[in-house]
Amino acid sequence: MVRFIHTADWQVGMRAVQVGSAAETVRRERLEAVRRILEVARKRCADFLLVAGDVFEDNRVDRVLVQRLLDLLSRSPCPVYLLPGNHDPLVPGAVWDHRGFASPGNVTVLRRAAPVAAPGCVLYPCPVASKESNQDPTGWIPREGAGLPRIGVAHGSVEGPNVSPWDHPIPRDAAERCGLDYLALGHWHSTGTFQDRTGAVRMAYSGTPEPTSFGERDSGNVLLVEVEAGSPPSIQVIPTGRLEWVRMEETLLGPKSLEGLKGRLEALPEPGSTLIHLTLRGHMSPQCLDDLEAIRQVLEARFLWHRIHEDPWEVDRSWIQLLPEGMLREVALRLLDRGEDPAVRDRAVFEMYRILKEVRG
Amino acid sequence: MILHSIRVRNWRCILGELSLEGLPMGVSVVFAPNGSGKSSLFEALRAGLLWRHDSSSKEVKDVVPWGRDLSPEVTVEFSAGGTRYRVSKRFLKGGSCLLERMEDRRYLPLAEGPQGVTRTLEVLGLGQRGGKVWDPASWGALQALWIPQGGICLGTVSDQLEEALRRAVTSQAQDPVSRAFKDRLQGDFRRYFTDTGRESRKSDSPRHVLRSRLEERLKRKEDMEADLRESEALQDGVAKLTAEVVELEARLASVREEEAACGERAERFRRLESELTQVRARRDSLTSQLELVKDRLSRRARVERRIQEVEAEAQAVKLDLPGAEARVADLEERLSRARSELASAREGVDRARLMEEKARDARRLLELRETISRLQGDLLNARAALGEAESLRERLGARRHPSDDDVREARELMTRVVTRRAELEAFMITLEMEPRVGLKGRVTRGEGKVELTASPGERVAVRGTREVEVLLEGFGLIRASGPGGDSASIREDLEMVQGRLTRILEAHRVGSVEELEALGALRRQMEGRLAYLEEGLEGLLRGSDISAVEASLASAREEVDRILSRFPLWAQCPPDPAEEEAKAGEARDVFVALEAAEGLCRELSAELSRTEAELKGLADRGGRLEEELRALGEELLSMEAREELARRLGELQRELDFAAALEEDLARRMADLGDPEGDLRAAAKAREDLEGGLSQLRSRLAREEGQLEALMNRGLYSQLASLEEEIEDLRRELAEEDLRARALDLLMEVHRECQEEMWIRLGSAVGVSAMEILRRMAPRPVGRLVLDRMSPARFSPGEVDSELELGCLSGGEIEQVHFAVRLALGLRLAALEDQLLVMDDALMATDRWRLEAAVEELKSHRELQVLILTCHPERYAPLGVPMLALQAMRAW
Repeated sequence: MVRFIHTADWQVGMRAVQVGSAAETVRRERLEAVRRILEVARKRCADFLLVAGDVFEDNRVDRVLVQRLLDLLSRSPCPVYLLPGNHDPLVPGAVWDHRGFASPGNVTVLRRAAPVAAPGCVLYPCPVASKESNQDPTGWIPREGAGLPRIGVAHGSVEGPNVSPWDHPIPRDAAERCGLDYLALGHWHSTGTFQDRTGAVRMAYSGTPEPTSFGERDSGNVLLVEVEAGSPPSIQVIPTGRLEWVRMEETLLGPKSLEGLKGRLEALPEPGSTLIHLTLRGHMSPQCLDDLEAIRQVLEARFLWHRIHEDPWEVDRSWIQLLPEGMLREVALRLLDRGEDPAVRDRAVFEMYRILKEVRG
Repeated sequence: MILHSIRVRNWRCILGELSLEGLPMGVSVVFAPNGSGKSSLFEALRAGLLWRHDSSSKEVKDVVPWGRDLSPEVTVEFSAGGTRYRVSKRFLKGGSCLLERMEDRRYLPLAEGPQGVTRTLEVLGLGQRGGKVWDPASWGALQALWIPQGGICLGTVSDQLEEALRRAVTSQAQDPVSRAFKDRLQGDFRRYFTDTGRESRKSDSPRHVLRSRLEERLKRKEDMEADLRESEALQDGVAKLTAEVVELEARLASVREEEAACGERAERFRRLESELTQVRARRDSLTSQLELVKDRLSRRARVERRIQEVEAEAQAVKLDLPGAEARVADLEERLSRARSELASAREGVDRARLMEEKARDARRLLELRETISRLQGDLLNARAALGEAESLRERLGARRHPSDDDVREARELMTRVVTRRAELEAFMITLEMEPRVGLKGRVTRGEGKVELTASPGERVAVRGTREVEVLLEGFGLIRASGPGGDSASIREDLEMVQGRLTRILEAHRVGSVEELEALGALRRQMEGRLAYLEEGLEGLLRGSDISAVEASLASAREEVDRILSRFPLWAQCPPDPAEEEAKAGEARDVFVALEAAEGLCRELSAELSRTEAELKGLADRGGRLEEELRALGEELLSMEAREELARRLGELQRELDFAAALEEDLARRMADLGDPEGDLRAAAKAREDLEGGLSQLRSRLAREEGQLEALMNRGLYSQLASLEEEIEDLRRELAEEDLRARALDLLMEVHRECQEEMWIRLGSAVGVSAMEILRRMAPRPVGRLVLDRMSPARFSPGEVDSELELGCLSGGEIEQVHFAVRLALGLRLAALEDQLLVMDDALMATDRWRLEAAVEELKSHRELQVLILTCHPERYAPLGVPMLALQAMRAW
């Protein structure tokens, strides 16, 4: 029996432009995730570590970063097999030309579609040599082979609805068709498995070990796989992600709604490693600005990153009626009638409210 | 603003100091006669508050007291905004400004210099004023409150006044919250916009800062993307080069295989070639051997043939040899005889030559003797001619002889002397006297003696030209005159000619022209003789000198002596050349015999030589033939036998035929292999080309890989990521600031609209207020007052329904209307803060009743401090207001 860690889509060097100032932390966490994976491999006594593509975000990533990863992998407790994926395809001038990959060690780049002897098994790698392809990367794998466990490793999309035919398509029965005991897949960031006709799971996406954006489902894992030739593999999902990418949408009905939102935000665990995207809509009163500001401060102070998106509000005008007769009231009422740009108008009303609040003390 | 005191020093007509202190609220009248400094005081007040202390304009210089070098000074104490200030200014020389603020009942400095001026204006709410400070239009709100002499009519309301009024009126119309709101809104607005509504470019403008940062980062991003594009291009390049390298490597492998095959074929070819070479060498060797055997056979035949020939020839020589020996003996005998004849002929020839020499010497002796005789004669003649010529030359050189020119000139001068004397004589007159008594006198004009004495009866004559005068004692002056003419020039010329003639004669030491002519003839005679002698000498000596003639003579004598030494008898008996010549002719026949003998000897000698040579040749030839015959015999003996040579020849020919067949076979096999060396060279060339191309390609690949790696090592990807993140943040912030700016702009716009409407409403309120004042003051009903930008435009009296232009009213009425409007404006301004209203003899056309009404109206407004400057104190005295005499305030 052979035991190994199946992982993919490390995407070291990932740019997280959308999260601005937190991007550096996001990038740093990619390497930290690798460190945690190695720790898992050590603890679980894995025979080797198999990375099913997209080790790097891009072939253009800084070579210093490549060296950093190599330094990290040099401390791996077991051999590491790296498969080029569609983000880092095996082309001339690719990241794989780095000198560190040329020197013999415990890191092997699976450069050729040819069987590779690994500890206790035979690997059938399907390296990616272009960003896009409509060819089945597993097509080359011979059905017959040695008596050792046959483990395929490929990077692409398992065929299905809403899947581009140019996304390195992999048949749903690829493992069975190729006579593989296990087909380690990469490309999808969510963890996912595929049963064959017997109900056995011989194909799986490990997903990315560290979530990469908002809206990802079940990411941040690696798979501990145990394979015995001719038997269904045993697959165990092990969480490795640290950053939480949270998307929240709130419809406010009044000051009480903001209080509830604030409470829910404060209740979120590990805010220091949480990126939050908050969308607010509904009924907004200038009187709520203080509460909104308080929420803003909470997010700013505690969370790794946040963004509040305000959908067009339904602005509360009741405060204007409370203004004394005079020019200010005249200004406020007249402002409400200016309909050139509702966003500008609403913001002007809020600004007026803010200034009045400041001058009144 | 409220005025507490003013101190003026050295201002126009105010010499020394003038002080106005303790001014109360309400109405005060300051009076003084015209020219006492009322208007100067008002001007000093304006200068103290508004003017720049460091100005050197004409208006400032004009305030200096006339004809003095003084620095005008003014100190004003006033209250503004509830605080008391004191501003002191000195203009022109030593100009200064000091603004003080009262704190704890004492003044403390607040600002000085230009800052003092600026702060004073700020305290008065005027800010930085533009324009000329002596122009009321630039007084700001004070334009409404300060009324210069005769200037009650407000005229055009300046923008500054309108702004000040607007600010003051708006301030009054708004509560503190509204004012604070407005200030805060303006503060926020100005962070984003300029006063003219354009987007602010100031360094603290958030949008400008963000936009600048964004632009800078976008530029950096663009640069980085360019670098990344370059890296992508390099990647593509590397990929292409790699593919080319792979392709070339494949082609190189193919070419190398081809080259190896060619090499193998070439090796086979070389082996066959080597075999062929060996076969050819063998064939050549056989051919050589065959030729050698053939040659030996041929040589043997030649030797045998030659032996036969030599034997025949030797036999013939032996037969010719005796005949030749006989001819030699005969010739030797004949030659001996001929040589005897030749010897006797040669003896006759010597005698004949001696006779010829004797005859020649005899002839020569006679010639020499003639020559000697001739030369001796010539020598004698030449020596005589030389002596005479020398004598003549001495005579010619002994004195100076006149030349022909001298003689001719002397003759001409003599002729001119004679002519001139004759001409002079024609002018001469003579005074002849023959006195009866003795006379004594003096010639005063004439020639000859000066003193004149004559005995009685003695005839005396005095000569002269043209006129003669004699002064005789006892007789006086006697004068005689002759014919006219210029005798002086003739006399002068005569003297000159005579002088010249005298000099010529003296030069040749003769006394007359005739002697000079004789001397010239003698010279010519001697010169002719000398020429004759020299010509004769030339003929005698023939171009040479006398020593050469003497040498020729000596040479001839020597030759004569030499001939006589050979033939001594000729000294006594001279020879006969004809006889000697005849003897020599006879002896000359022996020469013919000598020539014949010599010819015979030569012929016989030649024939003998030929015959002897022939004989020797025959003997030598016989010897050679014998020698050759012996050598040929030896050679023939050393040669192989003819049969043996024929056998070897047959064997060699068979071997040669076999080698030719083998060579033909090898050549055919080599032809089958083609040109393997050429193919090999072509393959090697192709391989080298490919290797070269591959090497270059690999170099390029390495270079581009190096460049790519260098680019990759720059960390562009991370930097770009960070930059894009920053840009994203900046864009979001900018969008936020844009929204806020637009919101503030909208808010400001709406606020302005509301303020404008309020201004219009409050502007009409000023009009209403002015109407109320007018109604209180006017002696008759008042209808309507229409203002145009706060200035009265039209007026309708109560009894008239229609509106009238203000010019239709009387002067007093016009002043009253303007006074009401000014007062209404002042009251509006004073509603915010107490105000000083200054009237410098403003109401000139107002009658006593209207003035009384106006003062009463002024007195009713305690928020105003009214200062009336006038030169008509009598008009105000009955009105119950404080009266201050300006004269009393002067401090000298």
